Order: sequence, then C-alpha cells, then structure tokens
Amino acid sequence: MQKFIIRRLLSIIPTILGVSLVVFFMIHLAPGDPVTLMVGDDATPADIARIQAIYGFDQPLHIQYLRWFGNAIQGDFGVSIRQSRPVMSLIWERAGATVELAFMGMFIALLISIPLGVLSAIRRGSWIDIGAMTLALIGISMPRFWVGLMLLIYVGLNFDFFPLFGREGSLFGGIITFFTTLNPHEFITGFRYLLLPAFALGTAATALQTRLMRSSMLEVLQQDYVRTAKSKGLSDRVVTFKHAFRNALLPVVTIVGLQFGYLLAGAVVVETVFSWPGVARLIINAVSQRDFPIVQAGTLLVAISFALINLIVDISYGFLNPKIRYD
Amino acid sequence: MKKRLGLLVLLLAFLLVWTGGIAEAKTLVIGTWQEAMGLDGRVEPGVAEAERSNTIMEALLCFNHDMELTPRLATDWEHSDDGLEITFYLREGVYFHHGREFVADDVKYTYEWLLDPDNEAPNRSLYIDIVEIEIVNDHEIIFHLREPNGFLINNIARMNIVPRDKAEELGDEFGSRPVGTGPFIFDTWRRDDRMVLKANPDYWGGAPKVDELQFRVIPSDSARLMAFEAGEIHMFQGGVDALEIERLEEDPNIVVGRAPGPGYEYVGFNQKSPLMNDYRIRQAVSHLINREGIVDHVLGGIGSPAYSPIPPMLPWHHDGLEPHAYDPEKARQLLAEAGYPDGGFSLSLHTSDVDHRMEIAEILAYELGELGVDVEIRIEEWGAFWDRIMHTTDYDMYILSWHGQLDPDRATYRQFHSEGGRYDYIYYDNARVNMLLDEGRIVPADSDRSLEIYREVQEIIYRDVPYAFIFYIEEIALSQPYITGFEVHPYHPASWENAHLFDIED
Repeated sequence: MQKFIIRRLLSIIPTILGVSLVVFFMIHLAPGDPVTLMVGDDATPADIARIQAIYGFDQPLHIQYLRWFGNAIQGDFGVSIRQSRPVMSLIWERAGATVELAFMGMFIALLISIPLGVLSAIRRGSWIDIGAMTLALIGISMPRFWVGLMLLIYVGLNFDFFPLFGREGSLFGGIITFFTTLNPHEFITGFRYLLLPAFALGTAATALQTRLMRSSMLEVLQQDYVRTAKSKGLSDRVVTFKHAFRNALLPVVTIVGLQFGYLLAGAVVVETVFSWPGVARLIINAVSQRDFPIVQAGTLLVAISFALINLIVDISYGFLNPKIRYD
Repeated sequence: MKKRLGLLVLLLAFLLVWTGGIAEAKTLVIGTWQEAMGLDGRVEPGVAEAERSNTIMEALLCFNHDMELTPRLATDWEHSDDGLEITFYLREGVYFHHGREFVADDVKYTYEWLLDPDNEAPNRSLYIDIVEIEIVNDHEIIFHLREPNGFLINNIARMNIVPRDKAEELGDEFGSRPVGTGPFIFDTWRRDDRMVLKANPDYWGGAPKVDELQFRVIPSDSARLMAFEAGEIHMFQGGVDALEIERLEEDPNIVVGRAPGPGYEYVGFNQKSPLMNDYRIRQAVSHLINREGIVDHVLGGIGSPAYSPIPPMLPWHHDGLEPHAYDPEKARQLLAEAGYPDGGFSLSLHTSDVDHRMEIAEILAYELGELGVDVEIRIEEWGAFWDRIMHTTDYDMYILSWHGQLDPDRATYRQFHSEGGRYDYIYYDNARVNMLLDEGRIVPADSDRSLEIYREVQEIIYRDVPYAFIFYIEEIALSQPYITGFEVHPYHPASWENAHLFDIED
C-alpha cells in the first residue's frame, strides 16, 4: 500500500512537468502580451519595451520557462503582473471558495445520483426509472451557465433564503465553529450562499452518475453470484445492498475522480454566474490579462489537486473491493 | 424515528436563526462588472480602477456633469500668458486619511514619481510636457512646461494625488491599501468579491451621508441586474442588457439615468490594405451602415448615430455635419467608381467577443455581401484581437471604440496624426490633418483658432473616412428609487466621486 502510494506520487511528477510546459508555452505563444494590455491608452512603444524588459519578457521563451520553473520548485511562483502581489497568496485567498464549491457540488451529485441510480435499476422500467433517466438526459444536456441563471431566477429571486451573488463565510469553517461553539450561524450563512452555485455545478455530474449507477447496478444484478445469493433464499434487500451495491459502486467511484476535473473546469462558469470569489475566476481573468504567473501557478495547482484526488479515489477502491491489491 | 425527528427540529431551528438580524450601519452597495487590479491611478489607469479609487483619492481638478473642469484639491488655477506655466492654488485645511495635512509637496511628489521613467507609469507620456514643478508655498505650486499644451489640464484632472509619506512607505502595496483625501477611507478588500470603504467624517466637502460604501463585483450582466432588482445592490453603471432597457424604463421602482458619454464606436480601415486605401471603398462601407437601425435594434436605443471623432458635448464638436446616410445605392456607385461595379473582392472584418460588435459585424457583412463583396468576419478574444491591430497589419477592417475623449486633441491626435504613436492602426496619413493637429496643440484651448482648427479636421475626416463612425456611446446607470443625491455622470471613472452626497432614504 505504502509502495503504491509512493509510486503514484512519483508518477505525478512527469504529469506536473508536462502540464507546466504545455501551459507555459500555450499562454506565452498565444497572441497578446500582458504589458500591452496593462498600460492602457497612452503608453509609447518605448515605455512598453522598457516594462517588458523589467519583467524579463524580452528573454527567449525557454530561458523564461527555466527561470520560472527553477523558482517554482522552490515554492516561489512569482508576483502577479497586474496585482503586484505574490501569486501564492492570491491563490490561497480564493482556494477555499473553489474547493468548497467543488466538494459541495460532488456531495450533492452523490447524494442524489446513488440512491436514484440504485432505485432506477431495481425498479427497472417503472415510472421512477423513466423519470430519472429523462431528468438525467436533460441534466447532461443543460449548459451550466443556463442552469445557474435559471436557479437565480426561479429559486434565488423567489426565496430570500438564497442570496443572488457572492460568498459570505465558509461552510467548512461553519461546521467547525458549530462543533466547537454550537453556534450554527456561520454554517447556515455559508450553506445559503453555497447551495445554489454548488447545485448548478453538480447538475451534470449528478446526471452522469445517476446513469452510471443504474447501468452498473443492472449489470451486477445479473451476475451469477447475485442469482446464487437469491437462490440461497436471501431477501432482496440483503442481496441488493450487501452483495450487489458495493460492487456496482466501483465504476461510479472511478468516475468521481475524473468528474472532479470537470467540476473544476465548470467552476469557471459557475463562479462567474454566481459572482463566487474562487480560483477559477482568478485564473480566467488572468488569462484575459495575460497575467502569466497567475495562469501558470493556478493551472499547475489545479493539475496537482486533480492528480491527488484521483490517487485518493484509487486508494478507496481497496475498501470497496478487498480483491484489489496495490502492488 | 425519534432521532430523525430531533434532527428535523434542529434543522428548522437553524433556518430560523439565520433571519436574526444585527443592528445595521447605513451601507451603500455599488455593483460593478469587473474587479480592479489596483487602486493606484499612477500605475492603473483603467475605468474599473478609477471608479473605485476616485472615492478614496482626489485630483487637483475634476469634471462636473457637464464635463467642465471644476476645482477639487485645487481651488483655482491659471495659465501664464506664454502658456508655459500653470499655477495651482491648493485647497487649505484638507487632511489625508492618516491625519496629515495635504500640501504642495504631495502634488510635486505625485507628478515627479509619474514622470520618473524608472517607475513604469503607463500614462507617463501624457504628462511629458511638464519639465519642472516649483513649490511656491504649501498651497501654491507652478508646473513649468516644455511647450504650451492647452489640453494638459484635462489629464491633470484625471490624476489623483497621493500622500508622499504613505506612498513611499507602502511602495507597490499602495495600490492595495491606498490613502487619500477623498470622502471615503479604504477599509478592506477581498478581491473578486467586495471592497469596503468607511465614511471620512472629516471630508472637506462634508461628511458622507452613509457610514459605509461597498463595491461588489458581479461579472455576469444578467446576475447583476437580478441582484439590483432584488435590492441586493443599490446602483450600478454600464453593462445593462439592451433588451431590458425598455422594461426597466417603464418600471416605476427603478431609476434609469442616461447621459451621452465622451466616446464612440467605429469601423477602422487599415490603409495598408490596398483596397482600404481607396477612400471610395471606405465611403461605400460608411454608407452601408444603418446607424439608426443599429442604435434602435442592436443597442436598445442606448447611444446615437455618430459622424465625427469629437463627441457632441465638447465645444469643438462640428454640429454642421450629419451621419453618412444609409444608402446602398450610393455605396454601389462608389464601388463602381472605384472599379468594382459588381463587388467581386473580399475583405476581413475583425472584432473581439463583445455581443453588439459581433452583431454589427454580421449586419455589415450582409450589406457588403449584397453588393458582391465577400466579408470574412473574425471574432477573437480581446488580447488576441488587440495584439493583431497593435502589432500586425493583417486586417482590412475592425470594429472598436474610443472612450474618455475629454478634449479634441485626445480625440484626434493619436487616431489621425500620422505620427500619433501606437494608436495609429489605420495608418492614415494626411499632411493637412497633421499640420492642423500640430497647431491645435499649441494654440490656446479657449481661442477661436482652436475651434476653427478642429472644425476643419472634422470636415476632412468626414470626407476621407479613415473611420466610419457608428454611434456615440451613452452612459447608463440604474439606481434604487430610495437613493438620493445621485446623477449619472457622462464620464464613467467619475461616477461615484461625489458618493458623499448619496443617501439611502428609509
């Protein structure tokens, strides 16, 4: 197990190297440069050249990359060109908001999709099944920004409980406060602000996982060992939950890791619609301003967290299926 | 079962608790479309930055709602007869937020910092005519100029004064926690979410009527409008959906403020492209723009048809001209004169991903298509589009805008002088225009000669069509009916600089 984790952690290194290279060269080779975008209406070409030299943009690209990478592995991701502040602190300020959003989105997705998928499989062909599958199809097809706007119009505007924009307090922080001081205020506030954006973010994942859960469950229910269990005289309930469910869960868990990637990508849209102050918006704004240090550090950290989440998912297989060995 | 019931009760209790209010300070909430990069006007000249920082810091002068220069930190100013000196008389008894009195040395520091090439100030070239700053006493200061510059004063009205001690102490950090003399004091700033400012009770113009001012960033236009209609923000300017305007104006619970702004949108013609070098083809394109139709149907009536680079609110504006008429037949004739009776050539039309510009591009491509001209529309992300017109000549036409055209020099020199600097991306070169624009810089701004010069420039531009002007922009602001003291400002960066006069009525 330890060996496995170490091996996987090591395998993240080439991934990170690859991501950093691709991102660095893509953003630097794209037309547009930060200085021209920064200086506004009245700078002269000489002013621009001078400022570019200060940031080292006049150097060959591979030198710029090596310089940046050398600093990055020492934990120095540089200073934002536009905001004149260390990139790491800009990212950390917003990381909590995005992590909370993505986890809540996934939590909602699992909360809905697993029971619904299982139910649809057991009651195959019933109205629950047909309804769930129709909803799932719609859920996959709806673009996130549209889901977000609809939630704002039909839920946000009608229920004062849900604010229309922004973020107030932290849900995770609120949970801790509740358990330490029994004061639920922060938790509830965090929850109010988080629920709609998380729901909008999680819609597609919910839909996909419901379908997956259903088909996986159907497949398992037709396996020999399930028939055996049934013929032993075990009740449907025991067969379904004790024998079939755990095995059916495996493909869903696999996809959860990958879905996190989509959630982080979808966060760009959701954070914009809900004015959520997260990392995705920081990165997307930095892209349009060509604020290279933020884009590079931001995408790198997203890539690392994606790799780590998938590692955790792989480890969790072992708990679901003892047959899986990690060596 | 009991356990579950308990959980439900607990949950209900939670729901009740959140409604528990706290004694509220009077907080004015302004929505904006974009976060500021920093609040130091010396290094960040953008609108999103200025609309915030102008509530914290002040310039020597400012523009009133009629776009006339009015006193701010200076109570009066005068040009010397030879035009080589500007004397400012500074307001006395004004204190920075950290308690020190505002004096002439702060003005000197601000401008010397700006002019020092090592400080990377992007707008340095605007002030380059200032060669020396002489302090007469704490409340009188003289700017010595290299040559007469009648319009420098407008740029001085756009530069906020920073306190020497704080600016030196904070360095780059100054833009993240600025100190000024303005009606509001910087408090906290969570980027991409909110900026909180506290009222300055000692403000020389009178203490603000609210206790706190917040800027909230809501990037999505629809979400911002919803937040406004739900009462979560009190006001915002810009980014109002054209399709919503009519409904909003009919709603008695919404105050829609409109004011013609100092800017316009246009089609630019790259004269390094052989086709666009022919003024008849440029005129033909101009006659294919249905300006009325675009304003009414694409812009929801926000704006007005344009025909000159100098906005109508400035005295130099030529009101004897009128927009080129929408006249496809005339356009066909012009193309025939140019040697293309049936079209038969193709042009590229570039713009960035702004909704109404993409629509205008489609309309223009259709109109040209009717005359046999094949138009390839290329929409690019802003940075890429900007890079194309700044650094390449690989385009025939593009759609773009100019804002903040506060004086006739700013509205013409960079655009139409063949040595106008980096903004000459149409490569227009007309000896007469060059000569006039050079002269316009030297003659006194309030002279008849100045008016004559820019009148002639506008006439030449009108015939030559280096730009086909589409529409003059109009600023639009929404405010709640219970907000008093607010009037929409034609110059967006100045929108909230009088926020100390705004009040929230019960």
